[in-house]
Amino acid sequence: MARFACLVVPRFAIASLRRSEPELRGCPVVVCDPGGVARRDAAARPHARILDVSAEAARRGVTPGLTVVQALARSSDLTVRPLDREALAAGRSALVDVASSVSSRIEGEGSDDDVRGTVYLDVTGSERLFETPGGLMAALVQRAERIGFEAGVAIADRKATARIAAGIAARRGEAILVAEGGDSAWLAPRPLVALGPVADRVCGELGGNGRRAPRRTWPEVAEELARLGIARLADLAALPIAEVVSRFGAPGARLWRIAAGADDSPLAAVPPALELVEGTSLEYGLASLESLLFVVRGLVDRLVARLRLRGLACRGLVLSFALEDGARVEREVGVLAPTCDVKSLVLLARSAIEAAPPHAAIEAVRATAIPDRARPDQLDLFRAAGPPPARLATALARLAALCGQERIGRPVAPAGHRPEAFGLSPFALAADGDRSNAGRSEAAAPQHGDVRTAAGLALRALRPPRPAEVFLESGRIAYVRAPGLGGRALGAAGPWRLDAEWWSETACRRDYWEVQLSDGGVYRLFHDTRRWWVDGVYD
Amino acid sequence: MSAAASRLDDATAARLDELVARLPGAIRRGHAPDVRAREAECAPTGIAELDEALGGGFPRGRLSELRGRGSAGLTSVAQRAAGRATARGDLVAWIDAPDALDPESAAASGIALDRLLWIRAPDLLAAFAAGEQILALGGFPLVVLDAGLPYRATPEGVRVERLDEAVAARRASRFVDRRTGRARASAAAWVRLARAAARSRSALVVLVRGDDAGAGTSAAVRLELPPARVVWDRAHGAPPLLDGLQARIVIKRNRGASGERALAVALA
Repeated sequence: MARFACLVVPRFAIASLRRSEPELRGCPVVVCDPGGVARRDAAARPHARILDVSAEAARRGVTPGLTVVQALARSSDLTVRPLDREALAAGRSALVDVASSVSSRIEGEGSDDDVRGTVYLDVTGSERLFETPGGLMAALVQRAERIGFEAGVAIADRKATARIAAGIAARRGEAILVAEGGDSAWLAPRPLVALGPVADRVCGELGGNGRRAPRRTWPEVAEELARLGIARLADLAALPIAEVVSRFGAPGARLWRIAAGADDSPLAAVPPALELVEGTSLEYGLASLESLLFVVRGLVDRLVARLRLRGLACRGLVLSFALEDGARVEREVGVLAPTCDVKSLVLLARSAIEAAPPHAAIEAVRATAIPDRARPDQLDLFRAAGPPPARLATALARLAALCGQERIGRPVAPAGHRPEAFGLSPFALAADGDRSNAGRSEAAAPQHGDVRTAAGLALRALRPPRPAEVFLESGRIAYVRAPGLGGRALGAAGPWRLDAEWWSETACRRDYWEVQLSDGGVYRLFHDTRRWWVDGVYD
Repeated sequence: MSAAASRLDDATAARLDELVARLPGAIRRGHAPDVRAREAECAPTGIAELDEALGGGFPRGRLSELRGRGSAGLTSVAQRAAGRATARGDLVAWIDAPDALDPESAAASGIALDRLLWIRAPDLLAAFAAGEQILALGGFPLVVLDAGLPYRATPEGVRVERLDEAVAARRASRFVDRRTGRARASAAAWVRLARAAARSRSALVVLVRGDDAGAGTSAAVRLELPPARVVWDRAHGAPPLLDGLQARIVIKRNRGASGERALAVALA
């Protein structure tokens, strides 16, 4: 027998809003239909319909369906916010992440504008991971809390039963476990209104049955059933199915099966998205970096919480900004090694934004995390322990933010023959296969080999090469002058000719010299087709 | 082995005696020193004479300062130590404030580049901050901090300063003596760095150029390298070849040991 769990976040639009704006917790908040206008204008539309209300607002008599004016008439201290589709979508995928942390078969419910937050998951056998089904439910609630949701959870044999039970669990603040094979018994004493969460969807999807059974909404169906004296689900299940179908059509039959605990609708499992997206719309355009980073920090914080649920780390971020002038710009934030350190990621985001600030005020922010496996910390029997990979990743991210992404790494040989050329690749601890090659640097060493350098002597590069004036006497170098150095030549060796990339327009044709000057330095000079340069000092 | 083969001529015997005399006392007495224990306490420099004089190499958990100007051999000594460390399988961090590390030369010095973390710090301030972060991270038995100033030429626009570079230069201004233009980290910055090294048990080697302000009393080991003698190979009337440097290393301070000691080291 399959077992299904259902995770429900009541007042989902409000919960998603509070997740992105935690300061709204405890305030009477309502969410209204944005109606296709800009977010900051939407809240000012007096006739916009209320879509969702917080518990505090509900206690003041505000209900969904009222207009903003009507709601404010009932309670003047309401906070009115238009529906934030970015936050809603992020909340929905975060809920899927919670579910996917315990099961691989998940069905999310709801479309873009849907303010319901419901996820079904197939937990057949999963309870063994948590010793008891109660442990599984506790883990789901705890993980939902970790990403900012207060959820209700229930487990039953049928999806619909689990959904009804989860709705009740969310109201009571507890988890409900319906015993195996006990769906009908558990449903029987429930009042008819308990069908509400699933009946809305059933009536909407299946519609009516032509002239005999016109399309009706769930409140209309419920009212008619009440007129017939049907008060409990057991009463509905006791009716002959043929009579129910003739009066209510296909939705009636489905509702009958649900009430009888016999609904066998399967789980429409969808794999969770690989990329994690968090977003928020802002009440007004942000033009200051610090304010923007405050928002970005919140997004990154939530992304990291979701990554942790999946056991992954962040390999990169893409920040997308909707600007006041209608444009949308993106900034890519590279991370040298996968990390879950929020501070480092925010530092990197700051660097990326500072390097190319958006040209107008920002009205909406979306952050997409590129997930990657966190590197395991494995000790080696034959080598000294390096830094733990997770801490190394964090340190590299911070160093990249401090010095610049392109200035940290492991030197590698780039293509080409120019002696000044070098490349940096991301620094990583050696993989298992490389460990036997400790100390052998041939593979990684740049191999220009065209210019003679004194073996064993270290060369300090001068970047960029300094233009030099070289005075010759009888064809020999006699005096050298360049910014920061200069003197009489006490000895010189060369020329060592380099003729590289002759096939390209930027051919490299140089004569290299090693020159000892009276200032105490031994320098490497070269003469290209135009002038002299100093590009290094032997030290 | 036959008796004839085991017999040594006088020259070979004299040479062997000379080599035995240069061995550390413990070996001469027939007891090998605990090399592993010494390496756990020190990061060997890769130069036998210097290791002997320093008691095994650059001390771990302490700051060692190398000072010199021009072609004194400063970088060669540091790269040999780094090469020795990577050959042992250790990770080495090279924090490069003047952006002067030449990877080809580093590889030729024996550094396994796949175990070298190269941090091209944009200024001295960032270099010190990077040093503290690497030391706090741990796992890098040898950390080299080249504390020279990055070259910024003003005439002829050799380096076009971008805005971020200008910002970095302004940030780093308190690390530069405005009067002389030399690197001048505060004593507090050196103390912080030395404490970070003590916590990490890494050997921190700082390269200081010319008259730039150094670590002062924060350094447990201070080596000065006077100008080296340049060795040219002029054999057989052929054009001269640069053969290397004959460097002198003066041990100014060695963990409280009194007196100076000078060593001659061939870097070639």
